[in-house]
Amino acid sequence: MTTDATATAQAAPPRDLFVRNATGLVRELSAFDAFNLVFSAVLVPMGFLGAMSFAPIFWPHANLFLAFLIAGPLMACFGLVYLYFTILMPRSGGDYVWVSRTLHPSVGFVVNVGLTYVFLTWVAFNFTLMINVLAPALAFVMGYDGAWLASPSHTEAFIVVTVLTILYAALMVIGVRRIARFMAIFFVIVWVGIIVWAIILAFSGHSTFVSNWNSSESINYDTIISKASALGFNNTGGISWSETLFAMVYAFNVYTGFQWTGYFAGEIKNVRRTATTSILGALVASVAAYVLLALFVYNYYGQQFYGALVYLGLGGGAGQVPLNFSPYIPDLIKFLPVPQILQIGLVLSFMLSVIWWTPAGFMLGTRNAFAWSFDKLAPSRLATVSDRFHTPVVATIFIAVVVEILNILNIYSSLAAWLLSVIWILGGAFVVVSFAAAILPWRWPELHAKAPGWARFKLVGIPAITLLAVVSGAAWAFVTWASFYTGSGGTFGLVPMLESGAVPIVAVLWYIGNSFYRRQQGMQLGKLFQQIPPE
Amino acid sequence: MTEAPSPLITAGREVVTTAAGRGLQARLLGGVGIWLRGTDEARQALGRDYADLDLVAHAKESRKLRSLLESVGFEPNTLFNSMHGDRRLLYYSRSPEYHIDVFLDVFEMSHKLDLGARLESEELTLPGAELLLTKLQVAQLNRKDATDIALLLLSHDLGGSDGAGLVNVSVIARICADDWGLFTTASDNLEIVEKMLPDFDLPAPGREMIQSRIRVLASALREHPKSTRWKLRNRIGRRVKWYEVPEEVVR
Repeated sequence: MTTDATATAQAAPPRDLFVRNATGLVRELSAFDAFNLVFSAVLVPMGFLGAMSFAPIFWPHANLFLAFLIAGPLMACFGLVYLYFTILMPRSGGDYVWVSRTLHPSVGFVVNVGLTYVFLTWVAFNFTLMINVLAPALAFVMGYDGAWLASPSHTEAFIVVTVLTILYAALMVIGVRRIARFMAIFFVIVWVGIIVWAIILAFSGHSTFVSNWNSSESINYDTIISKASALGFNNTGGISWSETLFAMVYAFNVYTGFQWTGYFAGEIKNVRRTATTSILGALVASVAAYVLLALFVYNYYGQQFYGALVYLGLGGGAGQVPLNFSPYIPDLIKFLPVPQILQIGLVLSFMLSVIWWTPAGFMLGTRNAFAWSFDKLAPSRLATVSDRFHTPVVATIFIAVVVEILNILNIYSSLAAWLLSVIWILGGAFVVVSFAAAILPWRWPELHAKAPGWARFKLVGIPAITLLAVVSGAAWAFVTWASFYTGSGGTFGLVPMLESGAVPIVAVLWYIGNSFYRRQQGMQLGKLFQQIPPE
Repeated sequence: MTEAPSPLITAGREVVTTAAGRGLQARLLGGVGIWLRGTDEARQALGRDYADLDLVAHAKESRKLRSLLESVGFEPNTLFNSMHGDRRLLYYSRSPEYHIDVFLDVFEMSHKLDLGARLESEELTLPGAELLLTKLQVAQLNRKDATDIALLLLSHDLGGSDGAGLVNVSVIARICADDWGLFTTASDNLEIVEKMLPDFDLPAPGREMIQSRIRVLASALREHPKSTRWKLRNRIGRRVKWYEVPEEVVR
């Protein structure tokens, strides 16, 4: 062994001395951790479940395979906007810091509060979806009819989501490295399941499904299609391009999350380099996953049948035919030609995906709260470190309380419909972020000069980032408009949409009140926003 | 006694003694810590300007230390402390202008060192062995680091125990024998410093003394029985990166 050691030491290549100005820092999150955080936020299993359940109801002729595919390049423009900002201003709080320094502090604050609110609703919504949709799917696939699993009551759902919220708050307290390890374990478990599911779908023929369906269900395959048609579902199996474009609203919604790297910038190793791999890597992986899964689902179940089944189970035809399950994607796993034990494992992959992603949602909330606190827009106590755990427990508890409130709204009122309504907040906020990126080359030219070559490249005298930001902003403006257009008369109408705007309105009032309060304390907030916060 | 080359020497002493007065264990490391352990001859030849203070304390005493630093006028970097406060704290002094980096038990730079275990071994600074390791673990050595290593080796006999003027070689060898990456970086750095010796403004006996100590230390690192973990990692060798590169923090 001594010989090995000697050899190793003697093999040392000569090195020049390096230049370093001060004690450095090894940040907590690796390149994989950064990818895992943002890829988990896309939450492909649940996003796919949602898009495939709702889009066929509103746009029966839409082809989601195409919607996911076309939305990909548009989301790439959006992703490059976030990548540009993350590279130039890698600070915790992400778009809050960028917009507040580029446009105006109030705009940055309102945009970021709005986005934080939307993303925290995702935490609560997915908790509830796990209890109200995935647990019954598991019961259906297991052939188990115990009410606690097959149709949990409000109280049972409340207890479970509250316990989950408390457990996640506890997890956040033990530190970001352990959280990253936790998420890495669940990444493997979830994606082994989803990949196995995709392979089974891809290699099982449509005729196998028809045969499995007809042998186990009382209403046969052809009757489902004809019943749905008789009740008003008019999908003849063709594709409508206009409906496919409208269905991109869901594609945009479910892709969101891949660009989150900036929110955690303060904790990611070599974030300027890692941002590229995490943001673009997560987008490519997400587009590939959604497109392929949509293709495989259409091929195995049949697009026309699938749309008809969703219409009869979840849409306008609900209750008109005796289906003994809700036709969400995980329920349909029962009709795959594989042993029941494997089917159960596949449904569990969907359930565990919620466990996988939730820390990312909590982390986003706490990091944005830090950034507000640092800029004196929130109490400084939010950013204090716990004496016992040496982590920001107050911020964690604050986010857990917000999530719990959203849990209650979700279970006992109509947050689910509300969640669909808040798409416009998402869209509106991203239009603003895109606008900020578009003007940054003129607003902060010295900062823009440090941008990567692709962003500084000029086309007809205009920086590429400006052109990309215009495309990104236009795409999100379309989503905002389409969400209102779709909402009128639907389950998520104009009134709930306006109600969902309450949070940004509260943010405006908070900003005004806080500015007044700080002025009373002799603080000039404006000066804080003239510089980029330290790392 | 040589005049202190920097007001930070005084400030460093004050922080540690004030902490001790309140029952807190804190020790200096980095350039200031090494200067404080240096002999007059070494300080004169190898002392330099010091821009910041580095401190180690116990994580369990983090709250009290934060209160202390704030009570004596240091300004916290709130965002940094919120995000990295389980292992690092950052404070600023406005006059004179410098910052204090606080490591809480764990020192994590190019390699990870547990500094909490033997924190109380000596007064004012870390023991010589740990102090030297914090410099030998630097994967991208700069001139200041190399100078600090030379100052420490010129000022300390290598032995089997801690104490003033002593570096406990067995501690360094034992820690490196369990961590192939640390062993490799430390061995590389000893070689680099030895090659740099002619650059230092030292009389020949001083250079020879450092050289002989480098060789004794390198030999001790090589000879110490290695752990299974070390041996397994050694099979992979330099094909896989064995160190982290700490990032500069925009302060």
